[in-house]
Amino acid sequence: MKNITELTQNLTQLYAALKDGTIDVKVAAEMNNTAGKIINVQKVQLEYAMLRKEAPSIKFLEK
Amino acid sequence: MPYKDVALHREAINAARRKRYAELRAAGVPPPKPQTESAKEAANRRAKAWRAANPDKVRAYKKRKYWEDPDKARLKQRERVDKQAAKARSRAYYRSNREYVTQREAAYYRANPEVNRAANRRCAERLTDGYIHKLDKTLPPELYEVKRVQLLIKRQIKEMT
Repeated sequence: MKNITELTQNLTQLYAALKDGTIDVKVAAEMNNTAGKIINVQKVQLEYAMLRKEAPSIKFLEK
Repeated sequence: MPYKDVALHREAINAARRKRYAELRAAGVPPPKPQTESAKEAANRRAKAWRAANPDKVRAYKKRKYWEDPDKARLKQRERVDKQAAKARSRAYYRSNREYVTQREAAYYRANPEVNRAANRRCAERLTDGYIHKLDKTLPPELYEVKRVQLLIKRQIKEMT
């Protein structure tokens, strides 16, 4: 997983797998939780840049 | 009481009333004056007299006397109309500039994260569709899509466990 597009794709696959029942709910919950943490880290980075009135180039967010 | 008994009872009352009127007429008592005001009007007249006699007991909203002062009544009516017009204007503006208004609100909520925080948290706990669709108000737009999917999964897990 290199960037946010891949993360979104992975999460979409996870959602599909969860609906199909091909993945354990506990595992899915942990993965989803981790994805949430990654998103929050990016959010903090963006907010920090916004407060400093900067336009940073964050590799993870580049497509 | 069965209907038949009710009818008999009424008839008895009317008979007694007729008898009493006949006695009064025989005694030379003049008939009562015809009623010129309704019960409601009479009550209003009495209440007005009471207010005039007891100004210290009159409540504040009665003291405004909108119904007595035509200027005040007109002012109140105009205020009401203005309020409705402002509401209509605001609604029309919102409808015709929906995107701009949403962006402005989003900017406001991003700049003031403490506003509405408790309500947002409650919505987040419930993970409602409304909350998931409103995410762009609190999140940087870059993260909107991914967060939305993540929350959908979270809700799915919540439903399954």
